[in-house]
Amino acid sequence: MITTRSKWVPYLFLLPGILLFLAVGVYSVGFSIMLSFYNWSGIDFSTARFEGLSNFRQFLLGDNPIVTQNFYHSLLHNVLIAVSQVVVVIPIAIVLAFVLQNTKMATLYRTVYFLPMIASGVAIFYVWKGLFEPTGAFNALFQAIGLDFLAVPGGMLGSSSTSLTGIILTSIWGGLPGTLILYYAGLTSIDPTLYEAASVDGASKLTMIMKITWPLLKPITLIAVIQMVNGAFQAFENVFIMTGGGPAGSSEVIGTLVYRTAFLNNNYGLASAIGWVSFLITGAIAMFSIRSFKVDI
Amino acid sequence: MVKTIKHIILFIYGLTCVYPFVWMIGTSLKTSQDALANPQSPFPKGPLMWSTFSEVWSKLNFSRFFVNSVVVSVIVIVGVVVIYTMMAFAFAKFRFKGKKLIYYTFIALLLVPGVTTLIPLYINMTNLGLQNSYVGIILPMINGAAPFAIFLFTSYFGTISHELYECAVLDGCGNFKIYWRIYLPLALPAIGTIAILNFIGSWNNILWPMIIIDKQEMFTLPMGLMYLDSSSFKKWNELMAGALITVIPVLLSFPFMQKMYVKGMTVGSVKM
Amino acid sequence: MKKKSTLMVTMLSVLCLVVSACSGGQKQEGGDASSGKELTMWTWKVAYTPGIEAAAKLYEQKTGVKVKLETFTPDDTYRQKIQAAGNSKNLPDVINWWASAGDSIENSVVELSGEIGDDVLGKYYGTAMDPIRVTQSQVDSWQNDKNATTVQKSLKAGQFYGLPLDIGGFFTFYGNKLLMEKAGLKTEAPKTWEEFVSMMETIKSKTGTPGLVFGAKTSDLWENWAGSALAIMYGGPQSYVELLERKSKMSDPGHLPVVKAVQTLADKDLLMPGILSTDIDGADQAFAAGKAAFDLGGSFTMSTLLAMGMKPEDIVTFPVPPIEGSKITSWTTDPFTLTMLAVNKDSKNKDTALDFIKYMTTDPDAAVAFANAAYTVPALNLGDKAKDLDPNLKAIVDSFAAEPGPYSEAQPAINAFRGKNKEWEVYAQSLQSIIEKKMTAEQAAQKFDDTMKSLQASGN
Repeated sequence: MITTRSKWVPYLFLLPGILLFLAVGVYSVGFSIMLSFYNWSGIDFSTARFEGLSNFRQFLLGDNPIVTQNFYHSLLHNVLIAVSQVVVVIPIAIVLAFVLQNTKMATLYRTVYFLPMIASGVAIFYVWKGLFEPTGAFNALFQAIGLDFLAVPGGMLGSSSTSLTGIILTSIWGGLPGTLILYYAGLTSIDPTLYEAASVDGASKLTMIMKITWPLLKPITLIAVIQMVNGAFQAFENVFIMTGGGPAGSSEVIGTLVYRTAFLNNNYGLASAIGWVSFLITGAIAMFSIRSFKVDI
Repeated sequence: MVKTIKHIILFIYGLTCVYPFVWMIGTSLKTSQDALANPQSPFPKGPLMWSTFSEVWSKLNFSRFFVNSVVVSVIVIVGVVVIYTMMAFAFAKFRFKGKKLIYYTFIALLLVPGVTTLIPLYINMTNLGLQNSYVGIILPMINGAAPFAIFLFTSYFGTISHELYECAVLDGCGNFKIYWRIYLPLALPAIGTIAILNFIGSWNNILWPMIIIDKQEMFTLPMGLMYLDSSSFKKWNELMAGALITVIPVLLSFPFMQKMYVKGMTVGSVKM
Repeated sequence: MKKKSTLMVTMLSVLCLVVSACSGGQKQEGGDASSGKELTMWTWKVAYTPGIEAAAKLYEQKTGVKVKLETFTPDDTYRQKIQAAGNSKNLPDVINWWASAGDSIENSVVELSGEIGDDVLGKYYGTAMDPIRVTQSQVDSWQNDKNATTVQKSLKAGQFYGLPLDIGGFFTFYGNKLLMEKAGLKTEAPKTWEEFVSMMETIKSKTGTPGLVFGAKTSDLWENWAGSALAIMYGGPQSYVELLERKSKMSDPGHLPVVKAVQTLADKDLLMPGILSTDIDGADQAFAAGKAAFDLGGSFTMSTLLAMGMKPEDIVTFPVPPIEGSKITSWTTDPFTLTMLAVNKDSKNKDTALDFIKYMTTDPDAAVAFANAAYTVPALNLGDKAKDLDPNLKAIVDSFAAEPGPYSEAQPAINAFRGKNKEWEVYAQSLQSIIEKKMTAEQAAQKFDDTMKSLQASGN
């Protein structure tokens, strides 16, 4: 690390990024935080009315029972998406990365596994919708292999008990490649001589994994967790297109709730308040993960 | 035996990755009636309708949309790489006041909820007179890419031996020259990773362009697709043809950049 | 020292490079396109685009003023777009918007009650101004609502911010004639809800095709498109208004049968599987592909079905049939205004823009040109000119009631309360639960009543 003779050199390097942030970032973030204390219908700020904490009280403390209920339900769904994504994706990604590392056809598989990442556009959610239809691929598959009880007659997205599962499945599918690549990259970066040296010293497989592999995978896991949690809390497009938050609110997430509140109910202040509380929650989870992984970023 | 199981696992997962694309291609080649009647099947019945592609292409001004998308993506990539490698260089190589604060402020931007800042951002951009312009689409996209780019570049630069820097100083290189001539070329894998991520991101982004652009001649490809969606009464074959047109450039460029992507991730995110 | 200045210069040049590389786009000053020779206009209805352009062409021939139209789609994007543009005064001269009052755009557009007199308003279909003109009951409800926006609180009764462009009605079932014949049914409209249900049962047992599809992914669609008609017929418009005004309960015998009507559909498995993830387009698509015998829609659905390849002679249409014992025994589709045209308050061509929206909504030639190309019914009372309409459109017009009917009576209360009172949001979700057979009609009604009570208690 250098302390340069001229103190302002590092700031010069930061300048373009900071200027850009001042030009496009600061205003929108600041304005949007301010809005959460106002009642505002979305057009012409001169019509906004300062309401203090009233927006927050509405959805956090039950001043409006329905909005509060919607908020906590949505929050729960976001948490469910985040948790199941982390719990499912990370083990699968690690296993696949190990398998992939020891395969001759790795390049081909790697290319194929990347595909879902490219397809982050809107079109792919329409494809998923089709697969989840009552006569779609999922139900057909379950019936074909004799697992009829897994088939949902109304389609996975059309039933309130399974719609969130459908959303989670697509999130896992979309989140797996990025995480897989991270682990794959991590594993390939480990110097093989380390393992050789360890086995010469008589270390068991488990010791090698604990002492060599895991320390390397730890920071990767942290990044993966934060990325997935953040992704889960920002989920919007997939839910909006596939279920619209339904049926009967069963797949509503913060993103769709904020959207509905701002653009359909014209309550921009309340929407901002919900959005920023969600920001704080995501931030808290991220901090907690960093602490518990004891990794310094 | 173990080997067979391994391949079965890899293959099945591969199938789930490929299936949506098979469905897209199959549906785009169906006749309108077939697409309407058997939306689930990925296999077209009857003649393959290659003509749908040219119809979709000429129905809307797709060539223009294509050019717009390319312009936006290229400039976003260049901007992200130049601006944030510079910042990362400062974070990784210098000690200065406010470093932690600035670094974490930028990283925290990752968590800002997009929907809530949409209207304020628009007000901001129009105050700058940037509606209906490439600059108006591009600047927020570059700014939005900041957190991850800064993170990856900073940890990447952190892995480069410090002696290299000192040698360069002894050779009389200025800081900017060291950054531009030595560190930037060394960071190519990380640049590749960030370039790919932002290419995909800016290419597929639809919400922001939709808000900031008023004129059809400034539409990007996904906006064209959205327009197609509502103007053709959900003709799946046309929609999927449009979707394929949109996704093909990314698909084609991908195998080339893929190797670099993995390499950039390897060093950038592993060795922190 | 030299190093530093080199650094500065290089950095500046990099910055310039970035900036100049970006400046490919053209700047545009919104809203004030030019000297008055050209108007700008926005819509979200792709289907209306050819219609608006046809009428605009006539206007250009007459006045020399060109109208430049831009379309933004889908609905939600358009809403964001208008909000965004309204904030930075980038709105076009003329705005096509949902016919409404208190829907947040009032602050950006011209209030017209001082500009437009009865000579113009008299030309429209009888109830066309109803959803646009602010009513006293709306004003009262906004004044008493602490969550109402400042814009809503500033509106006065009698004001209006747009002129009606087109009218239409929901409450229409479309039937597949071939399936009805195949099941041995007469291809006639059912007289009661019960008869309709038994028709669907017959079709289901004879052909295996499910009875009904509609865009149930949108939770409030049933209430908007069918439920309110059933309710208004069952107890009369006043009884529905009382429910909206929180003066009666959903579990009252006067309302409960309407909830039960939905449960019947679910109990008898008459709804298309997957209906809860089906959106409006998806429902029309499924109906057109013969996957359900009936489709719930509105006057605007016909054009979609025809575009999907159905033939008019294969379709039977009829209004929502009344539940047995209803006070009103037949529903005449009482059309209401679908969209309106408004003028940007900050437009530099305000007078021209106003002249254009007057022309477009009251000139018979323009209205017919618009209607035939956009496939929607103009809000203008066409009189003899109606013979120039496309025959299918003409048939829709003829099916409309000539006099304001029961729906018009309930409409002000619907506009004032159904969006605002959250028990309706809860009810809409309960209906989805009924469709899934996870709730009974009684439970849904009880939940509605409980929600209403708790909202009232907390001052919402």
